[in-house]
Amino acid sequence: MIKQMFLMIWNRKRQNALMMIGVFISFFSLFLVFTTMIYMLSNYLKPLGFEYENVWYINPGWSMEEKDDILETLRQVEYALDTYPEIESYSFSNTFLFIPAATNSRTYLRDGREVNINQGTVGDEFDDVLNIQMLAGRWFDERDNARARPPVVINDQVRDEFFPGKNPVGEIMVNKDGEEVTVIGLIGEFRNSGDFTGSKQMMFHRGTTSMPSDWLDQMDGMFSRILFRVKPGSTRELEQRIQVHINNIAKDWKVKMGRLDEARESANNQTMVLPIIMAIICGFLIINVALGLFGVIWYNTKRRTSEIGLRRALGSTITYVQRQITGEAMVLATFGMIIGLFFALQFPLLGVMGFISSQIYLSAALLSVVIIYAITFLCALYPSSQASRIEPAIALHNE
Amino acid sequence: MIQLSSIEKVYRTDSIETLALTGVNLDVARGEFLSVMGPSGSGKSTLLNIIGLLDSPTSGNIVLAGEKVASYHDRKLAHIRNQKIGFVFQSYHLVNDLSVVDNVEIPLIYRSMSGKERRQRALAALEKVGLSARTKHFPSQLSGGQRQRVAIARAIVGEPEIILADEPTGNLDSVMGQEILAILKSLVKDMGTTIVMVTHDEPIALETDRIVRLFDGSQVN
Ligand SMILES: Nc1ncnc2c1ncn2[C@@H]1O[C@H](COP(=O)(O)OP(=O)(O)O)[C@@H](O)[C@H]1O
Ligand SMILES: [Mg+2]
Repeated sequence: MIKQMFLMIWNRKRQNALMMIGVFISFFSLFLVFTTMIYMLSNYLKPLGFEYENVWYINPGWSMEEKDDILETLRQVEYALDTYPEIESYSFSNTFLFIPAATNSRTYLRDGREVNINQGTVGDEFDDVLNIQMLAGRWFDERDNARARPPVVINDQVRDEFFPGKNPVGEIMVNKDGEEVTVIGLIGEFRNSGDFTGSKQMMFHRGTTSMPSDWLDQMDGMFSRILFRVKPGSTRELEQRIQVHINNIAKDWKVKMGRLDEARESANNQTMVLPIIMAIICGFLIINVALGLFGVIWYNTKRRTSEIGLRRALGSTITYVQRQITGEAMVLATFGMIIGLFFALQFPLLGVMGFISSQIYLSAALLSVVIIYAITFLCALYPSSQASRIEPAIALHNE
Repeated sequence: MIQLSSIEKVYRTDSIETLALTGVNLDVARGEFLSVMGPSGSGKSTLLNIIGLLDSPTSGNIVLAGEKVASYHDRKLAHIRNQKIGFVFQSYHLVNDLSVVDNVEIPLIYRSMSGKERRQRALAALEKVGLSARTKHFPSQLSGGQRQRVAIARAIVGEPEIILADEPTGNLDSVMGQEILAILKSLVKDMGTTIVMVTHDEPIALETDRIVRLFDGSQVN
């Protein structure tokens, strides 16, 4: 029976070609949308690697200033923060927290191979402010003042690339410019771009006000922040008081304040924009293809009234006729999807986007197959019920 | 083989009632070759459709090969059509999208049978009608007489006990008509098939065992 359906579609492949292409295009765009969505969902289920609740930030917004002046003002801001009992800890931070569009990376060498690692420069209390768990070693502190090489903290993803299966603490890493750093600590995930973005390789450098001002060379006032953790339940009123206080200290800075939970929300919204647009376009495509499919199935059923009458005369039951109409539509969809699957398979095979696992591609392809079959089935429902009403005696009447 | 008693068929459309058949009684013996004649609109096709279980009579009884089919439902009727009856139509009714051999296989699709056996039987049926050389052709590549021979191959592929032919020579010239008739006659002779054939052609009808004439839905004898 299935062979019959293949035969009917195959023998009319030229007439059915357009529809197969339509199915192919909608299958493929569904595949892309589902891949994106499943990828984002799988990211969402992973830990962020830090806690953002009750963490506020000051965006200093300094401009062209001597770095010694900046350091001095930063110190005064920190003294000011010390006076608030509501503030539990604070730290300098330059890490693009919840700024998904921005990245800052540097190239390190691994056996002569170049690997880009995301960079952050943060203070000694950074791990306390964000409740970051150490997997090995420790976070920065005063002991790092007198070191031959600058200390860094790396995360799991860097470890897996550079020191697979090893404790990286004490290891030395070299960047493209020949600068060496010593690994002093290991942390887990650090997905600073938001809940829907993937794992990334992260390396932190030390930058605190107790150090000489050199490290401020590469910091800018736009993306630097002073993060601080407040007691739960702290109010907007406190936020305003701090803002006024800081404005008084740093008169030349364009100080802004914010909360990480709000930054997170807007980062997540930003990340959702593209997939939502993709889903809308894909939705329109699918509606079009569904209408097209319905039209083709309907037209084919009408065109074949006498064939259906004949098949009934030769022993086909009503159920069989319905199954044939639906089955042929499914076969048509299958042909379109085979082309689509061929292209979809290239993604995991060629590793086009290596950060997405084959499992995600596979689930997306599977989901797309199910959806296309479901749509096809629905589109065939009405034509097949019409076909089952064909009276063989009338359909076979001599024309 | 075929017993019809007091068959009546009324077609009702919104306003018109057409009496297509009234009080038809017919007994066709096993292995008989019967022709049905009559003017256009006299109910010949209706009669054939009723015998072939494609249409049900408004009243009356049908017994086919010993089975009282009146109360049967779609599945069972389809089964009887498939197993016991072969159809041949004036306009062939071949499926243009299928090759000759695939067309002949159609009745066997509705039986449980391996694809290989289906193919073997279809080729054997095509050989009987002298079309072994055309099995991969499509209907559009054949002449009218060849198409009708394909249709006959399709009718006999399931080895039915009854063949119903509605003006099988109506679209053919007399030479081709004679060929078709010869094939049908050989079926009766070799296989003991029972044939009911509607025809307009008096010489062809005269070559069959018996002629039944219809006029305005009634038998005239
Ligand atoms: N499906 C139908 N609906 C209404 N009237 C029909 C239908 N089929 C046949 N008829 C009518 O029944 C009568 C007999 O038709 P038919 O059996 O086709 O005649 P024949 O085959 O002898 O030319 C005609 O008057 C025809 O118009
Ligand atoms: Mg007729």
